[in-house]
Amino acid sequence: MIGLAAVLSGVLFACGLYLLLSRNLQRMAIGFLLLSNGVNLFVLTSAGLPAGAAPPLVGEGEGASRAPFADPLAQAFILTAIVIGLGMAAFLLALSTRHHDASGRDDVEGDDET
Amino acid sequence: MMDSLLVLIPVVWPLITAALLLPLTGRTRLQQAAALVSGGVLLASAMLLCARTARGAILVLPLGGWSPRVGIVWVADALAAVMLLFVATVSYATLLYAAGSLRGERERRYFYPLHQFLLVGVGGSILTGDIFNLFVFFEVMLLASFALIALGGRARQVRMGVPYVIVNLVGSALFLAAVGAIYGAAGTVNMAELSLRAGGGGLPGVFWGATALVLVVFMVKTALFPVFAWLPDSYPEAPVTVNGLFAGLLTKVGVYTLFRTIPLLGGAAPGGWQPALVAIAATTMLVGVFGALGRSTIRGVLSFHIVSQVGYMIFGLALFTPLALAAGLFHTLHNMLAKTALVFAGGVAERMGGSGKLYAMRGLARTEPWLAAGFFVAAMSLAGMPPLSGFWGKWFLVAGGLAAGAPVATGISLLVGLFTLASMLKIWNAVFWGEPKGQRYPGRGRHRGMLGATLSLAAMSLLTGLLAAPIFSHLERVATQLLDVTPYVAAVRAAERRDDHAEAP
Repeated sequence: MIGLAAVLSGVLFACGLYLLLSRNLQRMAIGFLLLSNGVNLFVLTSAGLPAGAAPPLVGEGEGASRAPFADPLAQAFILTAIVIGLGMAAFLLALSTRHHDASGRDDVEGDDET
Repeated sequence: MMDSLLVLIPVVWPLITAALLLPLTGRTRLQQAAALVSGGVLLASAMLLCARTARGAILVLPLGGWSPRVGIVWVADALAAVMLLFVATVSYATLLYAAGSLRGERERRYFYPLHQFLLVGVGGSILTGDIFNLFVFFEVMLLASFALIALGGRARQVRMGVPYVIVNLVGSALFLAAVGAIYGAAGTVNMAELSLRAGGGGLPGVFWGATALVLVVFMVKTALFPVFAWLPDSYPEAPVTVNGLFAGLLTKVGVYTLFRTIPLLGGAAPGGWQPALVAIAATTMLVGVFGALGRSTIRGVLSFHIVSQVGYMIFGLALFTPLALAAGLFHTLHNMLAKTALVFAGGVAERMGGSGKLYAMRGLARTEPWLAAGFFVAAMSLAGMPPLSGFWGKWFLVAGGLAAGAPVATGISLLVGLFTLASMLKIWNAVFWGEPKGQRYPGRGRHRGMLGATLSLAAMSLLTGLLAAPIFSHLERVATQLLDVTPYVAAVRAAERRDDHAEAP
């Protein structure tokens, strides 16, 4: 399970970074989304994915399950990161609209002055 | 109660202000007045916090009542307090400057709420006691800065802003991944706990790899060599007010996080990092100053100098002695004042000439002596002329560098000081000296708020230079406390014990 998640997270990183290197703002936005999902998966994996672990919902009293459960704090991190990622993605899309309105094009050209 | 309030205000107060300013959108004068009142409260609270922590007290606020190991803590020590005081000062000056400088409805409309959101992020990054919340507040700061740097939305500005946005987004993604790996390896993200566990030894290699990644991300935010390239092109394109605000605050927050984390974690790190940090600092100084020599606009030169100056601050940190660390801090505080003053003065000149190109307009010293005086004081301070604050920053840094046995890097810092002077004289000669010519819109730059903000920052730089002895001895105490990490760790852990006690029946 961890191996699969690690490979998947690596693929998401690679695709995200490749798209972010593009000059096209929409590709960059998609790249950012892939990257942020890759990171979320990475955080989940690095906190440990015990095989057959239960969700972190622990009942009260003696009857509570003693089975290993997934780390709730890592999930809280990811939940926060998802919200932030959404905000950033929204900003990127707004920026690409703004850029399109201002310059009539979708890609960012190189710098002419140094 | 009073202590908790003091720790809360730098983050919560700007947030409340931002919420109150949003419904006033479109009524710019009212917004500015409200922001000034709110900024005054922020300034007063930062002064109180400085007074409260001056004797070495460390205020810890566990939010939500969780133990600091898993919960959220905010920590205010003397370093955080003094940074907050200067942040509040620079941001207040920016508010004074904004009224005359922002152009048109597009720039004015959302500046004031965004300014407050930026302060939320900056305050939170300074006060937070764990690295996950540092990530969160970095994001708050970034999102506000993204909107500010694109404020007005001219085509060229948006284009030059894109690298800033993308580099910082990738940096944040890597930061979050590293935080996840650190949590997986060490079981906590609280900085005091991490320091304790790192000192105890036995952490896996993953932990140190992830910590190195975190430091690289901080270096990106600080604009150190070789990860500074996002800064020199994007800053000069932003509106002048935003440029000044960023020059004063953003990279300095990166510097602060390095000052905070490296003593906590670096002391236990496997060897070899210190020469690397000295080399990075020295290269940053050189690259920054040479890059600035090649720029042809006022704010282009000034923005590239931010990179060079950040090198000095990190040089002080890299030497890892109380004297050098205090010198790095002094230089940071000096730079927040002087650099913002320079960008503000440059912005006024740009307004009067209708262009930021050097030599497009000359002779401002004749026609606008007060503005020229403000620029001159700040520029000489940056170049390190006595008795201004920049001189003392460099003086202590050279003393610390020689005492710590780093003569080459110290020599480089002196050489860079010479080139900084050349660079400042280049602007002075191109814009302020000579027969007045090319001042196409002199009326546009004559605004009391703009001149007042520039002059008061320059005056504060002079004052910091005249009061260098007491300020530096305070910073030496701060640096000693910072290097001896035990008070910080003990204060955070004491909050944990107090909490356990409170929860017990």
